[in-house]
Amino acid sequence: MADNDSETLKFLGYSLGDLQDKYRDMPPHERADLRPKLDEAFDAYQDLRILLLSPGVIITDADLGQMKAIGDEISRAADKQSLISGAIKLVGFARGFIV
Amino acid sequence: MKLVLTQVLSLFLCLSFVTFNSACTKEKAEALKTAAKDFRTQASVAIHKLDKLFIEDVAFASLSNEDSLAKIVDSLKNGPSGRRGIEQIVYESEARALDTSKYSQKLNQIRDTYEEFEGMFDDLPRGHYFAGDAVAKSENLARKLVAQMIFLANYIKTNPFRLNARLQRAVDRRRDALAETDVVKRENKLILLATEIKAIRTDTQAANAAAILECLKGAEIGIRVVHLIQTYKTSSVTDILAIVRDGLGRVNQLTGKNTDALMKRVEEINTTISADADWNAILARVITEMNG
Repeated sequence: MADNDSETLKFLGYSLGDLQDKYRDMPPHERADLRPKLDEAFDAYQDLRILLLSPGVIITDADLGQMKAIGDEISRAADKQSLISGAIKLVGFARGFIV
Repeated sequence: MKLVLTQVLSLFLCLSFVTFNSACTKEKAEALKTAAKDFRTQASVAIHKLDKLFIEDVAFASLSNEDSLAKIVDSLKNGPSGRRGIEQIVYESEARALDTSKYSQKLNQIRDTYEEFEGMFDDLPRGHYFAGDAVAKSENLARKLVAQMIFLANYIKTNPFRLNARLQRAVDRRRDALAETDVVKRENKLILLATEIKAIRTDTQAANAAAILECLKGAEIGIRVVHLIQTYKTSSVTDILAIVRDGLGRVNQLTGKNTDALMKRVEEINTTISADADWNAILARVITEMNG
């Protein structure tokens, strides 16, 4: 299936290229008539490129949710560490008075 | 009482000192945060290359001023009359570019995943001691992001992009050469065009290889991130520095290599990470979806 998709992409690319060349060679008033067909050919080509790209989007919405959760967890760890660090400094300060 | 209190406070201070000199030092946290940032930066470079490749894949070559004017004159003579006719000529007086934004949006979706990943570690240096478990949870996400880079490299290799504008100009030049009535001039034009054809082939391969290279660099940096995550709780600062140096060395080795050499490295990474059950599960799903 993957080879077929690549071959289809090539074929669509040739068709698109032919239409692009034709469109470019035309005078402006004739380009207007050809443009919808050109856009249709391009949409098919672009859509297939995107389809072939889609398996590469491996990170899911659930993964993104997990990233946020991990980030929050690390932030909470940072707050906890700051709190304890502050307490240690306070103890050290207090110790000076007791001794 | 004063003695007891002093002893308790001293004990608390000692425990805290021991605690904060554990394996999860601030240096390791900074190294991981920096590596995640490098990963995001490099992924962005790779994705930008992919974006540009598609724009060039469907770009129009501009016409010479002479040709452009000739076509407008043709339309003024033969096109529809009235205001509508004039507006149509103005609107189509240059070949209008094709809209690649849908494809760009797909790439942005991929780019965002690396930014989200980097963002996780913003507070890590501040919370390096207590964040060990959270860091461990990020390992599988890092693996998936490496797999994304590998996929993109394979995607470019399997479905390479064209330099469309140069191909269009080659079509023009061929037509012009074949229309030349002088035999010697025609032959010279065709020889010059043949040189350009070879250059288009070389430059097309180079453009695609350059994008593959950036994806591969992203994968190498991502592998470094995975190693840093795996060893975050247990390794020393020296170990961390070794992982970082090794990663940078691998990235430097990639520069200047041709497509075959780069794809060989892609295969090596595939083989290495396939030997790991967790990596393999991710890659197997990607390969299944690629093969439909």
